[in-house]
Amino acid sequence: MTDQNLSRRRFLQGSALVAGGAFVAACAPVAGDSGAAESGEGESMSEEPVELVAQYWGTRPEFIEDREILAQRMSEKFPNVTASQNSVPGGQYGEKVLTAIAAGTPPDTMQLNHRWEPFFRGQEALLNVIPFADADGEFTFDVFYPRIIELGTNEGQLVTVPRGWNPFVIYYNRALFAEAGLDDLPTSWETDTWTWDSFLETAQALTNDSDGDGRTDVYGMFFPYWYPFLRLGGGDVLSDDQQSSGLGSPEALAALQWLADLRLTHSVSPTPAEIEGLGSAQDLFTAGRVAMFTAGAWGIGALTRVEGLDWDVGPLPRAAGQPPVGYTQYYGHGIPKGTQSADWSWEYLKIISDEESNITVAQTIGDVPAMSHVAESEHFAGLPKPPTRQVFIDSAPHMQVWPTIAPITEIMDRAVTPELNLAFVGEKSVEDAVAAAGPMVDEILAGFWGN
Amino acid sequence: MSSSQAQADLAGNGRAGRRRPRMSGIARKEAIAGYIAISPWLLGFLIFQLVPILAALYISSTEWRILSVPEFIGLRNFDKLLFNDDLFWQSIKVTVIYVIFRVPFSAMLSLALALLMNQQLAGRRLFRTIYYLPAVIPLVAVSMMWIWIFNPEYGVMNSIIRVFGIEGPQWIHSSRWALPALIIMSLWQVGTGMVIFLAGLQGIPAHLYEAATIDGANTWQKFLSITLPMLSPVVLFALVMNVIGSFQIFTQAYIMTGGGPGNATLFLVLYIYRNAFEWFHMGYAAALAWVLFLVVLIISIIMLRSSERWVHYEGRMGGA
Repeated sequence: MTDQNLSRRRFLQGSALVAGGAFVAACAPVAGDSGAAESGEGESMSEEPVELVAQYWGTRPEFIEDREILAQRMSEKFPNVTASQNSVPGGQYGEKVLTAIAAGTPPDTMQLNHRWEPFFRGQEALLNVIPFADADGEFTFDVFYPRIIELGTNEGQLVTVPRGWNPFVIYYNRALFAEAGLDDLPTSWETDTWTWDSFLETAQALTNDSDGDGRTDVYGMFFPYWYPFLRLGGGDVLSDDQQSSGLGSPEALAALQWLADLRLTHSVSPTPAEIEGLGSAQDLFTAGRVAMFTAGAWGIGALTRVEGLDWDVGPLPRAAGQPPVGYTQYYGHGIPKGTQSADWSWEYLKIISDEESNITVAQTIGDVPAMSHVAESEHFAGLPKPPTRQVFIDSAPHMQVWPTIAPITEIMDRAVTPELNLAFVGEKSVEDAVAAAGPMVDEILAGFWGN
Repeated sequence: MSSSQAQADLAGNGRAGRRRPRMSGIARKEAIAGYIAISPWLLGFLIFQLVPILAALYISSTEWRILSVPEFIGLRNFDKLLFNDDLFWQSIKVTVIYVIFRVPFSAMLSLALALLMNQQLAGRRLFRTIYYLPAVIPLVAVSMMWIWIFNPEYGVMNSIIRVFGIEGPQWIHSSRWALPALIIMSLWQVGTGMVIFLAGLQGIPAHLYEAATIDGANTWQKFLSITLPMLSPVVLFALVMNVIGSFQIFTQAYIMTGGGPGNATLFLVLYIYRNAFEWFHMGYAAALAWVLFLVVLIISIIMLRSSERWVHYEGRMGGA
């Protein structure tokens, strides 16, 4: 019998070898010819079997169904293509896509919005889609709202083909307005009498303690998002040259103070604790506890399903001396660098953003389609609820988005929002909050610009 | 050379003894079986813990945003966090306060419950289960429940306080009260510590108490002179684990407060997470993680070293 004495040292050596091998294998890029796609050329399209994956966030049933239809359409158009979707919860999107790209297995197309487009563009992880469009005989950007294309274009490059947009509006409860003896909100963004003052007066008229127990039963308004109001007031988080904080400007300070006063001085907006106890803005609105709230077009879908709720939408009010601002968030899809075949990705992208897909955006998802003729057709503008859908579409000429600089999410989440939240609950003055946030914004920008 | 030394040499302690004595067939088989038995853990440790820890050490010396090539920057990440990052010091402050309050409160409550559950009470098994139950509920569910408990308007906590005519604080919506709220909430899970202490209490020989009773010791004296010393190894274990666990607090803050209001509950692990997976500063996050590792390591070493003075191991001379 052979003596096979396994010493501790040999065992550990063997273990280390196995572990090292496994680690190296795990870390090695698995697939993907990044060179061809990075150059923007892509591999030539052939009849060879191809598997394509479109990456999305959000896992609501209507989203999944929509994406399955898109994948099916791609496979029907190109029989050699097996198209599929990969949907992850919104909070995991960045990690998921970054890890996939870093591992050399990026998705073939990926969803992008105001949050993710600047980040991935800043990482130089996306292909410019303009050359694909130029080389394509049947595709044109002219069918989309020009302002979306204009806002998405950065240094001559466009990395997102838009699919939908979410203009912010005022959702209001018509029954509560009638009870308070108020007229419906204006329907035109050009109405110069719909100002912050009239908005506040309306909110005050709607706020009431109906049972007299000392607690407010109906709040006039609720603002889940502070940024649109900052823009309405003529301010912004960044300075015009994007080199420093813009929060210290007189316009920004006035806008933020006005917003804080809505809750702290005028008591027309619920506190975070009250909101938490009663649910989301839509829950509060549906329950008749809030008469007005600001949100994008995503509110349409949920509110339309509530039977017996008499609601409509109006434009955002304009601040004194400011033009109307149609703050919006838009989303679309791009092609990550390193995808197996950028040409196939482009074909998939075209289906994701084509007219049929835009109709789905309008009818199933409830957002405003990026294609202007679809938005202005019976598929969106012609739908019965809310009656003044045109308000969403009419915001297009005034469209503004949040800063497109790459570290904007970090600026917002790390520097600005924590401080402003203290101001909005009265724990800090707006001036102190802005003074605390400003240096952090400057520091992040300095790191980004390499100053 | 004494005869004992000669015997030792013969037994393998001398020059000839440097060669490892041959294992018997049975011993060898046992060794192989042992290695095979521990190999899943060993491989798991090497691949999923040791390698990432060492990789993190390297990454901490880089500026790396995942898609870009890591750029070696030496100790700049550590320089930044120590001297140029107020949020790092805020996260350290918040975490240390949490540990300082949570660990002793939690240990005392666990011990008190274990002492109670160690009594011959009717239905004590039911009570043990009840007290341990929170420890097996997922932390996410627990966090969601405590959001409601702490709701200033509709929550149980302020409803109870209101009975006494006092308007309760804003709890997790207040930068002053959010951290105390999370400390109070952490006591919800004292069941784990209770079970550990209970096991320790049941290992204390009954004859020690009988002897003390014969000597006329009262309950308090028995607790101080028998229970605590005999339980001290368990106390040490519970404290070390509790300190490590408290430094790693994440889920509650992530779900309930998001680190706010105004960074009032920005725990270190949450700050690491944000840097890594929200802002994608992997190098900086790795540096923060190493700082956490070193802090926990140093505190653990101090606790273990100091334990020689107060931990009593049965059968060993000295100790308390």
